[in-house]
Amino acid sequence: MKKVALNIVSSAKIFAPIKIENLNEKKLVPNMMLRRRLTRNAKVMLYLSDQCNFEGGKIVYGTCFSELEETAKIANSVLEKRLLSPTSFQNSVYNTAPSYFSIINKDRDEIITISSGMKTSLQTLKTAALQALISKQRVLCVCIECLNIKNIEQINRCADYLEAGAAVVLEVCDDEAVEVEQKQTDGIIGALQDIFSVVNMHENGKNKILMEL
Amino acid sequence: MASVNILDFEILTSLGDAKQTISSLLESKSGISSKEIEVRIPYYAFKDKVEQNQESIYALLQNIVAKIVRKLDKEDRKSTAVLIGTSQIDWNLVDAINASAYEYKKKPYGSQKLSIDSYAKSLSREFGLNEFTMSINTACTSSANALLEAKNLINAGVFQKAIVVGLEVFSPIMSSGFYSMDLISKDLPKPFDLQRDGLVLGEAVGAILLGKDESLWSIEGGFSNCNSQTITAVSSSGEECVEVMQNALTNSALHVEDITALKAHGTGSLSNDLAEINAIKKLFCKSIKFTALKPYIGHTIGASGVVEIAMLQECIDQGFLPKTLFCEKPILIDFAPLKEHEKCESGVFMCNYFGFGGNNTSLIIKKSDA
Repeated sequence: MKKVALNIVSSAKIFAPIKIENLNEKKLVPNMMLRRRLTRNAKVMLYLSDQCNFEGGKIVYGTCFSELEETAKIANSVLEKRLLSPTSFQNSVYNTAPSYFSIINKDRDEIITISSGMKTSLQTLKTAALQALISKQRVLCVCIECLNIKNIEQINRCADYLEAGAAVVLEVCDDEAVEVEQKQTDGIIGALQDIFSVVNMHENGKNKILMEL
Repeated sequence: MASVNILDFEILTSLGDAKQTISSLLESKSGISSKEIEVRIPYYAFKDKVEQNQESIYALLQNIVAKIVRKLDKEDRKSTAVLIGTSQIDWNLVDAINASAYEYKKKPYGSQKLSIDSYAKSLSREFGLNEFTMSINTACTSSANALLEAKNLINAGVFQKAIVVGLEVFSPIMSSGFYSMDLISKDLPKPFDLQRDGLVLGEAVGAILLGKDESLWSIEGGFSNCNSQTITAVSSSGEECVEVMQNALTNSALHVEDITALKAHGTGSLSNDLAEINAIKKLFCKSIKFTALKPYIGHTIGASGVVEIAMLQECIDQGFLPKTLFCEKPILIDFAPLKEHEKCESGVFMCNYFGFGGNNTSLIIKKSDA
């Protein structure tokens, strides 16, 4: 398998047991009407991309559970035989968060959305590595899970943090790079573990990683 | 951007397999039927019902991929990746949604629950393919984007070949969502017609084998981006569509005059058709032969990238460009879709896909003269 050496330009992570506060929404999205339409994943994505100083370019976005809150609203409407909310429906697709990013930041570049169960962030990192390799450009790799919905405690046994996300800006490099350290971050859902490992390495001063495609 | 070749394809639509689908196209037959959601809506359903469970969906994929891999030897299979493009929901979601919606006590969620990518993983294991898999979910552009990513993987030398699968089966939630947005037609999809009143969804599965082996068919290039005016639509002027079509040409080192014909996205919806026809006029200026395939098989969302390219290929292989059904009075008289099948045996074809979230993709495929 081919291995790609990547430089981590910037990184960010955020998580909370129930709900992430202070996502800087008013500063990041001054338009109130647009701000009110944003989903939880979109708000977290806007925050993380801002923390990474990423204003536009190629994005690879990963999510296992997608827009869970909006999807749950739709499921409830179907169950109760109510008409579905058009806003919930249009906000329920997997690529909702990066789409809002593209509208707000006028980003006209390629955006790919990946979903791969508990391997979501690993597959997202691999796809970002491929994009960086092909395009020779910087790529934002961002993964988010927001699970804070009604009755989630009945089924959740795998995450202490119901809202979490992490992002890295990657570029291809020729320097010596190291394998990603597989250190679990306690309480974070499996779907995000791989990207959290990469962010943790960057926070510890390790800027060059190898990603196997 | 180096081209990759299209080595083989298989599809299953509401009209049947590739041969049956194209036979119906030749006779101008549509596969339309209906489904019950809150109300009865027009729908393009498989002839044999596919249940909404993982086993049934996997069986559908298994059947299609088995036909593609039978010509690959053991070594070939090891260097063949599997990519799936679909807008089907991840089955991980089902437990969580059930928890929110139903009052009975639920079992704890198991992290081993299958995801949409586990279909690709299972296919990889079952057919001895490379363990690399990718599942892309970008609404209507899902499998078109998967084709672009597969092309990237082959051109980067990561794999020799890739099987790109497009998948869409009936989902009451998806249909209800489109219905709630008033996007479903009352009877028929009428792409680019003044009387169009919405799209009609459909089921389909398809697989395309890409590689560098010799073939008359190739993907010359393409472009995908995210650019919308709102979360669901591009602007009526079509400038976002022009941008993606123009970039697809540039990436393929081609010009407008090189395009033999265009396969439009052509959903039959009020806003998207208007945007697309304005974009076609802006890009091609004088005229271009174009058609829309959704009146035959419906809007197959995530599957449409793979399935409509395979349909177009089969039509050209049989020597014709298919006409567009149900367009009586075109939006633009000078830019009307094909009213009759036209003889065509080779050429360069642009294929458009414009999706929710402003995710837009344009691919350019070519059939060389034999």
